Amino acid sequence: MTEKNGLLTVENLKVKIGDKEILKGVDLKIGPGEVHAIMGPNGTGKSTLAYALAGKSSYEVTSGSVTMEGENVLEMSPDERARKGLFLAFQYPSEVPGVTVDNFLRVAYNTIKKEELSIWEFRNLLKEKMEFLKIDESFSGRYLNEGFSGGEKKRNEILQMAVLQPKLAVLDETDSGLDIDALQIVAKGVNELLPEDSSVLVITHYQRILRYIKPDFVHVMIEGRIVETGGGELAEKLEEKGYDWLKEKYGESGKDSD
Amino acid sequence: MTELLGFGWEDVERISSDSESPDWIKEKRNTAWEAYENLPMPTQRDEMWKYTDLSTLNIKNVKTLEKSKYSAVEKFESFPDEAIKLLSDEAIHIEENGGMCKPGLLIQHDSQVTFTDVDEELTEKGVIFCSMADAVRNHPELVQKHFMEKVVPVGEGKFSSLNAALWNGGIFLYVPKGIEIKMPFKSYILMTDGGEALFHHSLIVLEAGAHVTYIEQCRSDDYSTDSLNSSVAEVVVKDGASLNYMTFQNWGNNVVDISTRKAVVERDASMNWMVGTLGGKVTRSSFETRLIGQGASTNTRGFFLASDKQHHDFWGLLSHEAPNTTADLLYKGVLKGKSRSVFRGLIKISEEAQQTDSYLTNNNILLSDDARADSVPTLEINANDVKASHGATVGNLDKDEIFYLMSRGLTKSAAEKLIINGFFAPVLKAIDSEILREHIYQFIDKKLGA
Ligand SMILES: Nc1ncnc2c1ncn2[C@@H]1O[C@H](COP(=O)(O)OP(=O)(O)OP(=O)(O)O)[C@@H](O)[C@H]1O
Ligand SMILES: [Mg+2]
Repeated sequence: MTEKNGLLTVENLKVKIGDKEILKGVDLKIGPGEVHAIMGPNGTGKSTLAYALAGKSSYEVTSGSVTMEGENVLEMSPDERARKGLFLAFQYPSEVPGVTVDNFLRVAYNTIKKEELSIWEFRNLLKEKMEFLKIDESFSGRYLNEGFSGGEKKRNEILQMAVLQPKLAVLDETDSGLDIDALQIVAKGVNELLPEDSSVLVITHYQRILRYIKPDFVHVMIEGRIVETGGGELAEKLEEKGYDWLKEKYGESGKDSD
Repeated sequence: MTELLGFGWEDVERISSDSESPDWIKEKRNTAWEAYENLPMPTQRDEMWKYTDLSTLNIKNVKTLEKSKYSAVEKFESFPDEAIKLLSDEAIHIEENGGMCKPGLLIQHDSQVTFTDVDEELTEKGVIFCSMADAVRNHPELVQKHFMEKVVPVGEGKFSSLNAALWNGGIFLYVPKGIEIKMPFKSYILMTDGGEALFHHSLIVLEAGAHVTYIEQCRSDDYSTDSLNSSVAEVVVKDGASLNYMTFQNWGNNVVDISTRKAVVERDASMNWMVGTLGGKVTRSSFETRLIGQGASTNTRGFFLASDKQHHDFWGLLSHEAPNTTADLLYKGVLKGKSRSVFRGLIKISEEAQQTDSYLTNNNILLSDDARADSVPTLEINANDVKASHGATVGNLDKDEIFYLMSRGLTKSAAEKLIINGFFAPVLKAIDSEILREHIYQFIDKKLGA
């Protein structure tokens, strides 16, 4: 099945921030409808990969390629990537004072879907998703992320995902800081609010979210490289054994050993 | 140094020769002219004028228009085309309201109020909304005691004295005791030629317990010669009354605007200002609020969007002169191109003004490296049991916020506009009228460009 390979292809991606090389050659292939997870110690470059995919300007791609459905993503501006169907749930979303959630999301929705939904039409659409995610109605009139608790910000990211219906949703530690109920709601949102053939890339430190969002592939990132790929059982193994065995094998001294 | 302005005694005489003008106002013009002549022209050595260089202005040849070439119009549609063009949003508004302009609408074209529509029921109750020229003739008992007396006395300032000598336009709004009106009184001041000098003088008096809103909008097209508008507005808000005074300046790009607005607020009364500056070449606006009665309060909201070489100089005074008074001023600006702004604000609390709260905030966003904003908030506190604070910021748009919004599909320019609208939101949400708010947002959008 050729299209199985077709959604996102990352090859030998190297990314620098300032003078520092953070990603040192990442390879990743995500097919339509697949769920992938990336795990790895702090500071190994997981968020850097997420930001580089989304097109953050201070992240300099020095080599490699990223394609989505065959198109060169690296040549696209962040908004073009979003319109192409890429979505990033931020680990630390910005607060935007004075801009209400509903107004912002309506502008985003109309831009991505090339529609012209009125305030009222959009409000109905938004209300439905908010009810599903058990977000209080009052949030739609609040300023984007301003004064939101950590968990509320995460839920708000998933709300945006649900409204914008991306082909690929990258969730950067969306599970961190969520209580158990919220985690289940968010997971249910990811499972049920996205189109059938949308793909998900879950960046996480914990196996618990992967109990609800079942990954087809689990990758481990160490020092800017994906060093190990497996199924759901790899996440369990990491939870049990930690990263030391992998760091030894692939970190500093261990790299390029084979 | 060459003279900044070319006015002379003959201008005062010519204006005074109007047979309909009463003697007391002629005398007022004379004393005011004398005061104007005796006061030195401000320079940048004066603290109040430090940031605005008047000597570079090219307004020496502007002409005062004592009688407008436009005559009164009965119907909105009968305005000349150039005026209609400047009033397009109001025309829609009037049409939506079935041709009604309640409670009142005045349109001043150059120096003449050519359109007047006031709710007769209110007139019967003693409400007066008319041109200043009519007011000095028909209501001297109400006007004389306030006109350039206690609020802005003759001799207080160079430009306000000149205004008192040469005033050639303006409105008078008088609301008797206890009258509350929800819908706004409105006025438009239109200039449809270059090279003009407009001295707009307004007086608003609210008797005890009256509650009204007044919206004033200045508009003109762009012309090749510079014009001058130098306004004075005097406001008296008596016990327990409240006034919302909104003023939006959207002059063409060659109008120099030097204006003073001042309110005296009595016991338990409140005065809310809304100031929007979008147009003009050089704008110097001064807003002073004197809280002279116990429990008086004021709220000032202001915004500006400057581009090209526009220059905005704002002065705000919150003067607490009685106990238990409260004041809050929030002024926000966005600057593009080579524009320049200065905000100077002063919280002044006198000895007897115990238990007062006063806040002064100015935030600016620079959209270009060539734009510059200065902010000088100050406190002068002579009472000990008070809460007062001020804050000022000058910054750029946040790159992370832009990226965040772009990652949701918004183009860079759409993201920036949304952030700027959000920046203005705490000020603009105070505008009740959706049509007006929309008009302002559209104007901002257009001015921000692609
Ligand atoms: N703006 C920056 N300037 C310099 N270094 C940076 C910058 N942003 C990130 N880094 C560095 O890049 C490395 C990778 O960071 P990244 O945020 O991608 O890690 P992560 O795997 O997401 O970690 P965590 O699990 O803690 O979220 C870290 O060493 C970090 O300090
Ligand atoms: Mg991270």
